Amino acid sequence: MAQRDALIFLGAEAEVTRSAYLGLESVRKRRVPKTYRHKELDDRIRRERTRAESQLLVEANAAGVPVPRVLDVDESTATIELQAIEGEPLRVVLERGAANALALCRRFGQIVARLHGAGLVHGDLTTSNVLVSGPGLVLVDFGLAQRSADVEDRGVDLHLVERTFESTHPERPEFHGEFLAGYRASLPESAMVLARTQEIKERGRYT
Amino acid sequence: MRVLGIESTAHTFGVGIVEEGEPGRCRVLANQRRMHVPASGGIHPRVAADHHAEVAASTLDAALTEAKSTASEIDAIAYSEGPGLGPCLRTGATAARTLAARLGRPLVGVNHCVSHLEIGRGTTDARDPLLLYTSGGNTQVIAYARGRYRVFGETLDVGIGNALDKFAREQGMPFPGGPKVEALARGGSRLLDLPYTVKGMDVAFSGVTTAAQALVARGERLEDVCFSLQETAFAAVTEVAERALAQTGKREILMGGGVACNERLALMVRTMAEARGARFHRPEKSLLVDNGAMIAWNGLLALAAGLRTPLGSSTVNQRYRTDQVEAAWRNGTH
Repeated sequence: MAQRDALIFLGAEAEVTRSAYLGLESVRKRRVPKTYRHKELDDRIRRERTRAESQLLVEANAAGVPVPRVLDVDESTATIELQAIEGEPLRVVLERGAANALALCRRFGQIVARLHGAGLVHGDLTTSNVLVSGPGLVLVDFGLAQRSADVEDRGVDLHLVERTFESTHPERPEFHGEFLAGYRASLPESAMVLARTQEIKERGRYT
Repeated sequence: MRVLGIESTAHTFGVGIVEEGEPGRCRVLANQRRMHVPASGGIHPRVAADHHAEVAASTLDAALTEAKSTASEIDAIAYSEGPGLGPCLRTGATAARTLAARLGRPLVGVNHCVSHLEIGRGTTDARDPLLLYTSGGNTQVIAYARGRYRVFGETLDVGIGNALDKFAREQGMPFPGGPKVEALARGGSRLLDLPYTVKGMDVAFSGVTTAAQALVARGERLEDVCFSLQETAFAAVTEVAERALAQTGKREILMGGGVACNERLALMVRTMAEARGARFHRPEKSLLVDNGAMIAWNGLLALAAGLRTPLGSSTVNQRYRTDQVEAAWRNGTH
């Protein structure tokens, strides 16, 4: 077990800690047991989700989407060992007013288009889940990702991006504009997805 | 201010009478409920509406008697504007309109889902909670954020209570089947495999009903199937509530809706809340189920904030959404 002080993030489902794997700096994501759930059910859910997340990361990586490498998976403890990514969330970099902000937003759109083109959706696409690492971007947290080429699932991804930009950078609509430009240029069927995003927006759900 | 509230969204016709005790505290003077129980099958909206029309006058009388109040002592009338079954809602609205016109008192329409949350704030120590609202027709996670009540997660198909009732009905248990499933589940112990569907912040239940029926058909003990059905479906809604707590940063969780009467669900939500350091609140059962007191209390809050529904525009809205509500009474809070 990693030590308490190495905790990076404690989410609703998992704890993320700093760790080491074969001498490499790593990040360990462990889905913690939920005592409200029946133990057998809880074990099954955590095992299945751990397996799915690691498989989707491997698939994304194979499709050329920049994601952390999966170093090890232990389904019995619902733990994934990931390559540590040096960098900061895109949200933080944008808040600081980085000079290359627009280029980063456009790149973000290209990466999401590539993910969607590979038949995957992220499920929690906020600017906190994209890290600016060196000259590039890395997409993290595939905990809600799915295999899907469904226009609805893709639209939900883009809708969340839009809402994130609106709430964190309401005064900079060009951030989202650049994101869309990058997405459009990199996914042939992007028009359909954008139309669906508009429809989802009009349904007015707030998640 | 003494407010009379009429609830009629689905199978229950309810009349409640409330006053404000200490500031922000609801005092329930009366809470009469009459439930339509279909002879067979599920609720037929027009048959339920006929039931409501039949019992309306006697339920009103019973509420006034319980509150030891005369009609002239009522200061305002509130009614459930939606969401719900059209014919049922219209029956309640008609009764409310008639009463308001006859007494010459103001009328106000309120949102049924938000009323479940407000009665919790009015009768427990919850101040700014996340509501886990589980009933026959509804399964939603609601909280106040950025000036409105918003839905953070919900069912993608049927309400959780509907899934339980439907399973029970297929097994020959009379409506409402949820309490019978709960009783049978106490005799179960083996966890059988059922679909657990959580998609992000949302849940789905239609698959679990079908799969549970298949287990019975395969010869599994009914007690074990009921046990597994509860364990699986309740864990899924509890997980969604947990995700919403993490996302909204709220520190209190409140239960509402008829399925919140289930002790196993309540235990799961309480366990989750304790693990997260959040406070757990559950109003008494007569205020968890559909009832007129919650409508009256939400009406009182709305009236105190200056809201009125003119008689001429006192319609119903079957698809009244939680985030359409002008929650003027919460302005300036969180």
